[in-house]
Amino acid sequence: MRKAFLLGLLLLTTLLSAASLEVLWMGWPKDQVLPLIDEFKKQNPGIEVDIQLVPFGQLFQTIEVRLSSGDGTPDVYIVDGPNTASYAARGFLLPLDDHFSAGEKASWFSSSIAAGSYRGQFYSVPYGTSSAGLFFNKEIFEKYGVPLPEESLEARMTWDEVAELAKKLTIDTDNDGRPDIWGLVIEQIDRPYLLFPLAQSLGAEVLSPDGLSATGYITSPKFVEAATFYWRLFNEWKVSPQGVNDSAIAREYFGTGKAAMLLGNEWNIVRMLKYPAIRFGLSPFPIFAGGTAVTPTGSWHVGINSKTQKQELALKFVKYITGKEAVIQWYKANGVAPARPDVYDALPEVFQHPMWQMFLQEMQTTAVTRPLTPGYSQYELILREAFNAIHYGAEPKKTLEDAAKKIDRELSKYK
Amino acid sequence: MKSYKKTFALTAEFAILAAISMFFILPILWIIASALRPSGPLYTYANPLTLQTFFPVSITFDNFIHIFEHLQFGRALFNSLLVAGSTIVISVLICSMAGFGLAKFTFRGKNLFFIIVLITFMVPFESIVIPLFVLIRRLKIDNTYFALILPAAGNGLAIFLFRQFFSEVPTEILEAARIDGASWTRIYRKIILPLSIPAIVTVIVMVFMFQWNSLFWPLIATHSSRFEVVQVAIASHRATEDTSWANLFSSAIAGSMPPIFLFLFLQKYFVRGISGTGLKG
Repeated sequence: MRKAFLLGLLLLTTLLSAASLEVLWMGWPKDQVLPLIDEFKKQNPGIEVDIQLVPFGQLFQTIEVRLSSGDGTPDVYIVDGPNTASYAARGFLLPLDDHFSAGEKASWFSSSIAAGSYRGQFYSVPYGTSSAGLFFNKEIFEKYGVPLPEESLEARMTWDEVAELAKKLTIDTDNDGRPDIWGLVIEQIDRPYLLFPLAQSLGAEVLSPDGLSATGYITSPKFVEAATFYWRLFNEWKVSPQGVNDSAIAREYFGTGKAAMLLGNEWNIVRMLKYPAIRFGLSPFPIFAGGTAVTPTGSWHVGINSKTQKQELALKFVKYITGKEAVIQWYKANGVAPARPDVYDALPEVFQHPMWQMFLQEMQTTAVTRPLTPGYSQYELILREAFNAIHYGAEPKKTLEDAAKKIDRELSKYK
Repeated sequence: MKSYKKTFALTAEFAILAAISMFFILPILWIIASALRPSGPLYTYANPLTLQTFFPVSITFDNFIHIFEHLQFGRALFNSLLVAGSTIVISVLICSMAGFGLAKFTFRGKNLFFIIVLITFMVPFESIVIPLFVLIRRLKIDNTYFALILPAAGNGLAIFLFRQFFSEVPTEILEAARIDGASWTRIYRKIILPLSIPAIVTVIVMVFMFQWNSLFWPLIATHSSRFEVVQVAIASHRATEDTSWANLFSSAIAGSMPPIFLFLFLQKYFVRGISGTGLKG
């Protein structure tokens, strides 16, 4: 009797999973994601979507373990743009060139399509994109008599100017020896995403063209110079607080007036609505004197499991979730930059905003995607550890040399 | 004079203990206070530190209502309770029998078996997660409650605790029962189990905490929101782009209630259980 029951239960679960599309998604706040899924179900009666929201901290490990079992599930999964190469090189992603016409691909920014491609084949569909800049708290500037930066691309500041401003605006209001207002907070303190543009603005390359060696690139004098500047912010000038490793905490610093400037992402235009008291401006992503302007870009993409048994359904879902209507809904819920130009046209009331216009300009002129390498996750992890150590005071050159050795060892297995 | 001194010493002792305990209690108070405030910025009340930081002026339960009504947190609580409860039942049965065997029987390979048991709870879970996942897929029990329960049911540490505990039970009692004609099953049920309440309670708490706190395995072993467990539900309120502090704190508090009650209820046994497992002179 019990055996029959167990068997029945097993059968039931197998049947249930057969009738629905399995989607592995990022753990964005549920109340933002579920309405999109409900809308898909409403448009496609009879199709069940079994969506799993994996918290960001566990996302990449979970994807690795799930894909390595190789049985075709999840059917659809979220792909961090720079991981496209890694998944594609190992055959985890369905090649999409046969399923997306050139006309369809033209719906996205070409830089986003490039980020979702590997060796000339299109693998992951852009879901969002991103840009970053230097937000500043007008009130703090005015209160301490520091002239406001100009909010235009022509008036891009140099990092030395930013450091000077930060020194002036790191203020210990209660004289307890610890600043109560910090000059500059970096939203993602140890992520190559936000830190590469410093080195790239000096002309440094961050990885070899074949994507397989770091020595000579992240150890180049230019890269080390940028890393030393970063080191000074925390250790010499002490204008940035150490240990703010959670981007949400970094935003709290800025939003509640405990930081004069925030090097952060475009989504802060929306995030800062949570802090009604703050008046802020946006200066473009700084450069080093004599360098070229470089901004970070790239974001989440969506991929289809190469071994899925529900390819038609998966394609339908991917086209829906990356389509114009869904992306508009997603922007309204979450505020991240859409990767489709038609969404910008559809919401002029939002994107005519001068800050959005600046980010749009940056995305089309100065944006540089992260390097394409099959070992991106190891590469990023080792670099994050290195940046973290440097911000706590480790010697930049030595730390980067050690990191480069480790990275080369990890990447050698893809040669 | 003497009693005056004593009072003074006692007061000083309490003052020091109270000061130390503040470090542990204030952060928790802060989380509770933040969960009971209308959702909003994290630091609004934290700087400067005032009494308001730890005691909300106007209390609202909106955050709790929101996570239960709109984010299916009740489902996650139910899942975790079901998984932890079933694991407890199975592992107390299996592990106590295994511990009994290891403590009171002699058979070939006993020491080898015991060493294997010891190894199982020393290997980090991450290193076996891929083979374990492949295994449950082959058994076709992935994305079911079985996938959450079974891998945790055979618990090496629990077997070890039971074995140590049973080693203390005098073999003479068992021999006497044998001579009186009791079967081993009967001895196990009527003598061993009633004697081992403290060990059972220890294992219950241990297994419960293990299952209640598991995060990575449930993410891999199941993918439907039907099986979402408490820690996954809590962690899903955080993302790089946005973190909902109100949801995070209120779910963290709601999610820590069951273990707190369980522990309060069982604590007198728990302490005795640890001290009774082979550490007596």
